Amino acid sequence: MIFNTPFLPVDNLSRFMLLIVAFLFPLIFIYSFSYVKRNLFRYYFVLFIALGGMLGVVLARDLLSFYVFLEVMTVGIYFLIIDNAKKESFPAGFKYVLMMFAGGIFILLATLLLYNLTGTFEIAEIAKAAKMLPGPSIAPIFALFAIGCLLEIGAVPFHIWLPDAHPIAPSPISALLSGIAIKVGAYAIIRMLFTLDILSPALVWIGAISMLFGVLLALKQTNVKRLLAYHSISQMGYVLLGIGIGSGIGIGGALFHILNHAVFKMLLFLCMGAIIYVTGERELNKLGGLAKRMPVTLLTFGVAALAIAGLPPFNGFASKAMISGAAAGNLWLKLVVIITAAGTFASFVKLFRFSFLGSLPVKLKDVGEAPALMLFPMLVLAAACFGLGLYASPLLSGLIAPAAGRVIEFNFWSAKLFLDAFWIVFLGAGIYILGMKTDFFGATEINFGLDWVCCNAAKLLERGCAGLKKLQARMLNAHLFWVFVALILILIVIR
Amino acid sequence: MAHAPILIIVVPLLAAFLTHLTKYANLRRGAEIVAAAGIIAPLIFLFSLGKTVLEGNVVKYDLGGWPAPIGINLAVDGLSFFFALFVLGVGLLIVVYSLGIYQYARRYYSLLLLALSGILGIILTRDIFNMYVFFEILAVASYVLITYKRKARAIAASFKYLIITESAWVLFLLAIAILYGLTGTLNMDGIASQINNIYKSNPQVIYLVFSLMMVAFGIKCGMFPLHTWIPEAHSQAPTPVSSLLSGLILKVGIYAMLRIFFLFFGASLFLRGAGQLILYLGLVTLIVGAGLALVQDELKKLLAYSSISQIGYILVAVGLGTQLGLKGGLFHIFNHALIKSGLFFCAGIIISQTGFWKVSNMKGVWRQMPGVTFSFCVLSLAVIGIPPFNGFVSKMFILDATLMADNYLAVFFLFTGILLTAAYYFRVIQTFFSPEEFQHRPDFTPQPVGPFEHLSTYIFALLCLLVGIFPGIIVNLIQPAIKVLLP
Repeated sequence: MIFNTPFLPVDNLSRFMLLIVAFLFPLIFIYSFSYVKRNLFRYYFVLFIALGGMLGVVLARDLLSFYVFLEVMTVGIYFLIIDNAKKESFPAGFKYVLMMFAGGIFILLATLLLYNLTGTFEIAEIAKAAKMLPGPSIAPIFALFAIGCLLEIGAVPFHIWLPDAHPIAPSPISALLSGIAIKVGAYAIIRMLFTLDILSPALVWIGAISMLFGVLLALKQTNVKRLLAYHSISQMGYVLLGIGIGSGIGIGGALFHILNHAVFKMLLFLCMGAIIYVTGERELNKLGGLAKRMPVTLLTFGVAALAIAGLPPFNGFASKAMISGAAAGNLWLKLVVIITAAGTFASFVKLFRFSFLGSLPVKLKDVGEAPALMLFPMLVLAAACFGLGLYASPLLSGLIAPAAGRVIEFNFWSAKLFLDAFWIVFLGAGIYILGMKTDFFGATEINFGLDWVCCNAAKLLERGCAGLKKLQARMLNAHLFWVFVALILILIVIR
Repeated sequence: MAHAPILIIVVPLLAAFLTHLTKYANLRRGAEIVAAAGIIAPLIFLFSLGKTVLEGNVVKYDLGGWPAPIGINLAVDGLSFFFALFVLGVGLLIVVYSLGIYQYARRYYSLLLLALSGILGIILTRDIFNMYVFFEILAVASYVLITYKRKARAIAASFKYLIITESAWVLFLLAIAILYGLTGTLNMDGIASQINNIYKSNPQVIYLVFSLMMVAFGIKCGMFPLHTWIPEAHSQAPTPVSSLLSGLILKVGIYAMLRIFFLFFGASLFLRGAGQLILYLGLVTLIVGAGLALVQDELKKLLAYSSISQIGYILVAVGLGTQLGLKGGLFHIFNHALIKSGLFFCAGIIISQTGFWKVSNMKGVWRQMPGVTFSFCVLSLAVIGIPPFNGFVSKMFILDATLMADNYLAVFFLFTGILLTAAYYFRVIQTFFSPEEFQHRPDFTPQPVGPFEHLSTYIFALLCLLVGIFPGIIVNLIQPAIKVLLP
């Protein structure tokens, strides 16, 4: 029953994801050579386990292998998150691992239910069989599967692990999490695309809410990596929106955005990692004036920021244009896309302003550029941001359309899209000025409530268990009393 | 090898007494050699029966040549073969762990062999009174094993264990007496053939017998609310004895449940709610065990509560009573024996090195003991049910069986149980990886830990991985066992 249909033959979608993993992972290794100083054996050991898990996930042809490698990846990444061994690492890692296991079990339940219905774990066969089955019988199964995937993605309302886990991990691992790990859920949904008839509306709105929510909270953050983490939620919202719309352009845009987001978000995390590496600071109000000290970081950060804001000619522009093109039919979605893009722009202006401009704090007098082994991956990624944007059209026809399995036509260089970009800059500048005036940016952390609810529920559970512990009989008489109570109760129940 | 079934029981029994005689032989480590031989020899006898049993046959043996209704008879079928195999396997690894520790002398090995021979007797016998006798042998050996180090708390825990388990055996004896009175035979097959008629004429008495046995076996396997002896006994016992208790002795309760309930009540009672009862008690056991482990700070007690919780999974599988459910249940019995024994070994090493019993004191353990911590992580992932380790496969079978039975309440609780398990094990793991260093108490000097202790934890971790990747080997062993239960 287990492991009899592992991999192969690789199809275009797997190849596309494999390309992302294979391209980005070596960069993380190179970056880690300089960044990671302690516990080298443990670090690379779990990094390889995570790599194996990711490769397995994208190559798996059946749902059970997918689940198995997903959990391998989760465990690997857990040990990477706690690698810093700071006080906050452990709660963050704990939250991460529990939520990922929960997501995994949802996926496992869906897998088993599909197996019971169709008699196979293979995705292609399930897709064939699912067409025969009536909608109402399989809708809950697909919903379970989708919930599992959304947990892995960190989409609202399943995001509460993400803003904790990303900032506390070592920077290359934040890049790995944001660049590859959270993509796995989106990949799984695309892989199970035949479920879309049922899931589509939910995905669209979860995507839209994630976009708005992520960017809104990102605007408020003062911890550089936490800010980026909220942007990951927001950007994965784009991907979900694209998948949810489900047209050729939507799916193509989602796949393209998976690639692009992996590239520019990794670059952003690596840039911030470089800053943290040389300064030791993560708070925006303790940074500033680094432009002259870290010119290469400045350059790469600028490229990445323009890319994530969706400005031409960088790669974010191309995929966001596709997704917003797919959403063009619905006015609300269009509005969400524009506002999110503007908010993204504003928050990166803020990040740029507070880290690179202004006056250099006294403590940071002696800082210089990051080591070459850290700069190299950053430069490669910056070049990729540029290249992927410029060659968007050939990429679309050569790589993404085959991966999506559809014919996709899209004109990237139309005047209308440039007009959109102009609007984004205009609105974004407006939001930035407004935010600076109203002191919105530096405000203390607000609780969305969900995190608070979950943490308190956990505390309540623990208190309940502690109460149970107190109830535990300690006296021998009480034990024997229970024996006879049990005997009588069983006798009563069984009759 | 015509006498193989009796030799499987008698060889460890004789070896148990032979270990004392090694005092007079001019032999270095004589007790250890005798102990190892006393376990390896029955393994060989068992393998000699393997082919016949796995083909679905039953090897019967009449003690002293007296046939069934008069004499005691033994039988090796698929179920007993499977149990005997892992009991001997884990027993051997327990001896390997004990090899390096000098305090474990002749008396220890003697009692260990006595306990193993008791377990093997329970597994092989087809005479219900004989089963009771072997239960008592096992119980007596394990009381003394728990108090082996003669600490006050261990003696208190052992006394509690003594009283509660004896109350279980009194109830079991009562059930046997009732059955004997009704049927006039103590042979299991003999009772089983008559029990349907009795049920038709007088169902109340069968309910009483069932309840008495249920409580007796429930106490033995740690079913809620009869689990109360487990945490104390497990945590106070010397480490290898904790492994023995958790890995093997708890499983004997499940074995008796499987053997007797399916044989006696398989047709009549099991369909009428007994299965449901076991299932729901299993669910409560699962959640309560996990919940109590969550707030437990003593490492060994935490592992004991975790055992209770895992027994809950097994009870759920037994209660379902379907092909797939039993496959998962039996597999989980095997897996849990491997995993929990390994975890107790890891805990034992960590406790003997740090001098602390409480998890909250074991900060930064991994820096001193990377190997043991690694084994602990692997084993705890296995017990949570994370692939590619063995716990995953059995839990998946159980989960699938509950899904097949459309019991979504059970699915929900199994789900919650897995998450709670993850929560309390990761709480321990994150303490091990914490940046602070633990400080020895000033009056504590760590005992040296030899290669054998480490080796046994690595063997367990490796076995968990191998069984997880190649579950087919064990599933092939389980199939004949299921054929016995569901003919």
